[in-house]
Amino acid sequence: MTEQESPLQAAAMPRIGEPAPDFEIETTQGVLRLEDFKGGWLILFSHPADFTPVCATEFVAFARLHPRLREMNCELLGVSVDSIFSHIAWIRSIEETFKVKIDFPVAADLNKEIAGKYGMVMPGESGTETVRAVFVIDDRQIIRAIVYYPMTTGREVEEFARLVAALQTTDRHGVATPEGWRPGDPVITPPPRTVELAGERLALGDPSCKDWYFCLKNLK
Amino acid sequence: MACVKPNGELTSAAAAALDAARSPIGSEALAAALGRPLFQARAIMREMLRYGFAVESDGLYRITAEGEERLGRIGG
Repeated sequence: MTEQESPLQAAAMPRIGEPAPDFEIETTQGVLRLEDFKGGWLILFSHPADFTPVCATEFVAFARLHPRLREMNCELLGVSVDSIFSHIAWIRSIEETFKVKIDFPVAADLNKEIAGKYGMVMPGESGTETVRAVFVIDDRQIIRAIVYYPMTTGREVEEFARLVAALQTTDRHGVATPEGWRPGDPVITPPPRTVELAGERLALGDPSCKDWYFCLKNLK
Repeated sequence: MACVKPNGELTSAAAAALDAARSPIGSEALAAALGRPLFQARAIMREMLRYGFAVESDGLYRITAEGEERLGRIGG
């Protein structure tokens, strides 16, 4: 670490496929640990600050998406560096202004414990606030997807339900999902990894295969 | 979940959890009994363990005498 680097700058960034960094933190629903979510999926998302307009639009969208995520065994946990009292006041304000119940916990990361472990502060964007980071953590608490947005651009929240559905489909069926995939759409079967198997697949003349490496199938 | 109010009283969620733990109960069954997500049930019982109002053995929670005494205050 050089003299100019802060601890946040030097913090290791989490990676897809690795265990999610552990935490214990005060939230609007009490003190929670990462392990409390084990056995279910978790979307951990950060926002720059309470009482800001873009974040308010995202919270409304996350709240509306929340029931559908729960049907997918997926919970939401919001986080920012604001205080617990700020979170409570902001949630009450959103519920009153937008008539939407915020039913998911929001963590008060005043000491930047989560922000540091998950690399949610981008010093080039802001040295104090968290950017719009999203971590999809699976039921084994492995990080499965990471998405970063800048502070000025609101996220398309619906995409995260699609992302979780795609990852769960991959886990259940051992398949991949193509661009824009939605539940019910055809999925991609794993391509062969040897010349021999590639030839065998072509020889089958399967009409669902456009080429040896590109085969779609419908899940039952 | 906050389980104990600043005045020392149990929250309704904590009281319901302790009541459910009068018979040994696991996290998932507790969540179902409370009608709350699993993460909340775990957080509630962690706090109950910390206060000594419940004990955990083989993945099952059970109310303690201290927990019964605290529940009794609500009932009384």
